[in-house]
Amino acid sequence: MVLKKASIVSVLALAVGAASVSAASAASVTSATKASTVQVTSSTYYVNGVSVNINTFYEKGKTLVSLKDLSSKLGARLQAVSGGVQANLNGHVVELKYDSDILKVDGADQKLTVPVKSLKGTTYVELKAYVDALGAYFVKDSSGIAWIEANVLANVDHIQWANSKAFIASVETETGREDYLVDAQSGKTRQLSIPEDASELVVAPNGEKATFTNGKGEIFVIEFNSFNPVKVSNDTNIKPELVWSADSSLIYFLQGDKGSVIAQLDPTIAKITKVLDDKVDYKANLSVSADGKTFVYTVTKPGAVVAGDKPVEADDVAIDMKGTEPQVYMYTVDPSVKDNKAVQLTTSTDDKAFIYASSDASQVGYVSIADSADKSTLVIVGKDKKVVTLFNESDVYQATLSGNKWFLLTEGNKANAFIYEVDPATSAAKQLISLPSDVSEIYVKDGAPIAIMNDGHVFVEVNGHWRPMSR
Amino acid sequence: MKWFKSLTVAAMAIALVTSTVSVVGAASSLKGKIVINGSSALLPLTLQAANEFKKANPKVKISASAAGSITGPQSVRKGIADIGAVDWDASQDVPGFKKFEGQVAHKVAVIPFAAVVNKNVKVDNLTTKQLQDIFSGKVTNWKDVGGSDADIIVVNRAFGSGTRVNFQMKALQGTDFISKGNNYKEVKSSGDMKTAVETTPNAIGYMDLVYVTSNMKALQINGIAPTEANVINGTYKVWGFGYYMTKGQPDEVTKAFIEYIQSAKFQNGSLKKLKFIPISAIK
Repeated sequence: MVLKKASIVSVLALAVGAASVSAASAASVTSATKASTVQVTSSTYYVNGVSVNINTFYEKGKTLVSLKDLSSKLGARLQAVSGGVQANLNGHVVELKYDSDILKVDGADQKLTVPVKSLKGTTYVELKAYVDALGAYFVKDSSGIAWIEANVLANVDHIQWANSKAFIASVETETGREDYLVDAQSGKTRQLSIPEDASELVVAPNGEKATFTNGKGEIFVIEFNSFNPVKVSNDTNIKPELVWSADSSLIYFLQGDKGSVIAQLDPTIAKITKVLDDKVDYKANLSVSADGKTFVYTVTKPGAVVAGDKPVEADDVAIDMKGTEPQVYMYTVDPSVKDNKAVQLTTSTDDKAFIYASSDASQVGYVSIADSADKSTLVIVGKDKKVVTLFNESDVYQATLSGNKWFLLTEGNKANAFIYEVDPATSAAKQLISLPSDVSEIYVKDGAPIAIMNDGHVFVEVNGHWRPMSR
Repeated sequence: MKWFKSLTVAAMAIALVTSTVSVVGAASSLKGKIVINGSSALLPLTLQAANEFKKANPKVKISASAAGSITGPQSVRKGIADIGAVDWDASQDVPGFKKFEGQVAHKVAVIPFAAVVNKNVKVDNLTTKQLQDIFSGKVTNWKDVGGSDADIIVVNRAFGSGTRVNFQMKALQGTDFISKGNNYKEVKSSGDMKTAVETTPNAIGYMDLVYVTSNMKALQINGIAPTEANVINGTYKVWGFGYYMTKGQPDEVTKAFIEYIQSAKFQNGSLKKLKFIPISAIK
């Protein structure tokens, strides 16, 4: 979003209450030795998401850090040059001269407050200036933890987990979108080779590949361990939504600008088969059961307009929006049923968002937003069309289904939002974590750490702390 | 879950150091209703955007309908819609319609239009003059524009259609249509136009480029094919912006929705997926 581009970095920190994890101090002194007139201390930093101790000292308001210690933790390569050292990281070249207050950064001089110093055979350099020069990212959170990251993407708009170890970070540009595969542990990123007109990537359940359409409507698959996407269908019909089968072998999609048709593509033979063509327009939020036989989706009916024959100036037009709320439908493929039709599961006038079907499609859950209610709730509806409230303790902002559990971002107290885990089998709701109220989105995937978007920045939970993953 | 194991205690709280900008996100406090009416061509785009916008702003309810472009600004003027979707800038005079005073036009998409003929028509290209002559009824036989000896069946959209306004302005450069005759048909929607051109031998009509099917032929105009690339490179002139009209400046909720549909995320994502052209592509 445009707003977040202009935001100042908000640094999240976990202030630990009764939690079992303990917050590390940014500069906890574990040892101290006198060296000339400065006091060298071993300070704790989180470098590339890992807690490490690095020798530092403080002078003229600046923290100087052991060049060798930080460089090795950060992954920067050092080599001796005449009268100094050269450091290389991510294509940046930084040259330091002993006792000099000049850093040569990619060929340009940069002035330091404190000259590069050598103490007992160890070279020290201004921490912030050196990190910046290498193009790395330094940020301190509110609990005092200092994070130093070698690979942090800028201006990430949204992410999705690819698998339990990596996520896809998307950066919207003026002409298209760039997608990066980010290793949530090492922080290393790799840009995926997709065309500018690619639709949003839809990750396969096996976490190894994703599918998308290009501007023509053709379908592509990109394997995460390869570089180039492969076209798997030349069909140019508009495809508003793509969905993988549970075994990651087939791609289902809505077809047509009004999403009227449900179709299936076997990407290995480029064969498209229509599943449902009932002339019902504006299907959306498609889910497919694990056995590939049941399809759940919403249908939104446009309002009815009556326009008379009077002159334009008379504004002889009337709109009836009754019954335009989305409704949940279910269609089960069964050749033995004559004139098999989709079944409408809901008729309520509430708005519906975050619609997910259970893996066997026996239940469909969604966030119900009713005009009359002061808060949104999580409800489920079964094949018997009975709607049951699953969570109504507080206003639900976002819901996602992962590993057969619901994860909700909800209203909390004044300053905070909460994450709840809800078990649809028992209706048990458990408050997991408290977040700032302006966290805009949570990202949950079975087996992966939780990630959040706050003020336009991505954070991933690491041992009870929020590691910054974008800037 | 690995994450869950490490966070079994519910008392974990998170604190901010600095936060100067509020993000419109899942926890958005935006609340309200938006009613949108007008262009049928823009309805799929509107409903797609509404579906996505709702995920970030669940408390905003969006209802949409379509009955032709002119009903969009009419509904806004009458006060029964917050947004009028229209295929031309209704704050300006266009052929057949006076401007809607006090309404503000917000560009949301680029819509290319194509002159289309039945597959039996041998002509592949027409000049602006030939199009003007055909749609005004001066030329009535395909042989006069390089085709076979057969009467031309003109299929026109009904008065009030945004596609009609754009075709008249951009392809016919403002000249008039014929309005009656044995070889003249008038249809009420893009779907009806598609059916008419596909099933009527020797027919000529026009429609949004996105609706052109393999069962008809899109003509070159002045030797330029109707393609997205030719619209963007400026050589194909028969296109228009799709607009959202509001009564004055929109309120906070309506403004947020318009900004979403104009955002790079939507313009380069779902808008392209629905085969519209982003507004930023036109320099």
